[in-house]
Amino acid sequence: MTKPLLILVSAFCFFALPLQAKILTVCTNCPLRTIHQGVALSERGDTVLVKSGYYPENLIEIHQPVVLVGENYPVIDSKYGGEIFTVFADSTVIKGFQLQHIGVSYLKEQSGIRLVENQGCTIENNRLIDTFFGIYLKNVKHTTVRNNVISGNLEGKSDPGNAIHLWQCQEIFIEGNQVSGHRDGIYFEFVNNSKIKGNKSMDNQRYGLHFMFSNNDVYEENIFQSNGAGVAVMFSQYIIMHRNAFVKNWGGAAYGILLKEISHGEMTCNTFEENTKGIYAEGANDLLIRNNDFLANGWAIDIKGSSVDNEILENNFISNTFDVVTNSKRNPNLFLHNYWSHHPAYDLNRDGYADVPYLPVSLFSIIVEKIPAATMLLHSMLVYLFDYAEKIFPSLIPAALSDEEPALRPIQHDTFTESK
Amino acid sequence: MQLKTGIGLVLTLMIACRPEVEEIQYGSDACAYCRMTISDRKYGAEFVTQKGKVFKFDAVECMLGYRKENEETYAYDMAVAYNRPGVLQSADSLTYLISPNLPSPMGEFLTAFSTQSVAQEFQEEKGGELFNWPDLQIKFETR
Repeated sequence: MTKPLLILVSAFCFFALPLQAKILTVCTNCPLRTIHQGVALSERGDTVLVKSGYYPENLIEIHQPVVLVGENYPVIDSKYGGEIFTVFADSTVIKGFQLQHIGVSYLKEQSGIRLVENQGCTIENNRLIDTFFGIYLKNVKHTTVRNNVISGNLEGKSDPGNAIHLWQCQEIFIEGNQVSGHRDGIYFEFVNNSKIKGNKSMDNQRYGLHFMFSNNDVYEENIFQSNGAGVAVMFSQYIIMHRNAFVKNWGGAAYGILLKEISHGEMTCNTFEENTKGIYAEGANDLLIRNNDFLANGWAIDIKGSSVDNEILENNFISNTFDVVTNSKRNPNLFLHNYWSHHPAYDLNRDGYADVPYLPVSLFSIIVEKIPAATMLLHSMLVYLFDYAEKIFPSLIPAALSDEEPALRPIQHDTFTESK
Repeated sequence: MQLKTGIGLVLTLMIACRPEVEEIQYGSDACAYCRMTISDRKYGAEFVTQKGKVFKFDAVECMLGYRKENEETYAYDMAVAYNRPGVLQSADSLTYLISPNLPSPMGEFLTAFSTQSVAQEFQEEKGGELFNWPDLQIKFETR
């Protein structure tokens, strides 16, 4: 054996020795009574087991990889003071804690758990109550945030934090979390190659999900409900949105989803139900919008003239007050084979599609867009007459925006329901 | 008497048309440029046109972005300082820091401060470059 190889093999053997990982137990009447003590005595790879109890602590910094496990949700209370866990080490696990009561600070984004410039961590099964920012990842890679319940308290807060906040991250998996009562439920800025799956984001002040300058991300099977302004996906490319539910986002500037400056994405098999506007698109290009259900929205889709080359195929538009509205006379997008419940369709040539094209933009939807007070005339005879006349001789509505072959009946496709 | 009423009426109308700064309603007003709900009180901007039309923004970079694309004449330029959250101040009176270590709502790392000394404190801690309002506008217009 050559000498370098020998050194290499012996070095390998040395490092392969089983690490003497200890378990340090912390409880309120143990020798180790605080989590600070437990963390201070721990070495690389140790486990700190925290028994159930009440620990009034904060500012716990973790500088080497440890596994922190709470038994029966021990409560760590910051008493409206600073951050609780700040993790600088890689491969750290924080699991099974109840973290609560972090103070609001204008200048510091204090969080329940903050990960800083590390990788390979797992944050799971924690409850965070009123923690200003919940879980905050800054410059983090390969990390999982799973099954946490993060509930904020909006009362008396003029500037709440975000529940799950990611900034400049890569390959992060956000799964099965429940987030509510924050500014934004899930916040992504400069986050690439990541996945958001099976989360429920409700009753947040602004957005259920807020997505900016982030590319190649997937989000699926999430529920975004009753958020102040719905969901915003902006300045991003190659985003796949699949089987999500956007529900009950009502308000003047509320949307199921706000698409702004986004391209090359896919939106498939999503449900948009009871939103002021299901989709609001401005500067959205090259998107495939297929097999979605638009149910009982004010406007199903508001697509601005700045959005081009989108394909809106095989969606169901059912019982929306208005189907589509746009500010453009032209139609740079393709609408085809959608089902429109407002369309009195018939099929004499039996090709499976309605014989008469459908113009989904009604005159009145354009009027209401410009003069909201006109809503009071909704469902009046006069409005029906105008709309009808416009459909026959389009002069104000974009005649080019039409579905040439509307489907005759609702399209059966894969959807996501909560019960699954 | 009629003359007085007439003059009064004209004066009222003149006042009504005079451009005035409006407070930003955080959590409900939407940004005129990026359409987002304005929500972070450490940031925000607003301009009022000569005709009295008010445009509100969630960040200074949005205001500058909007102006690059739209020609208007401005009566007021206002912005919110990081160290005085929620208060609109004359944009000209603020000092601006562009620092890679201080993120801002629309990704330009641009933050306003009420005085130059506070801005310098942050610059020492975070790094970056300071701008006054005219220079900042030039920087955004020319790129």
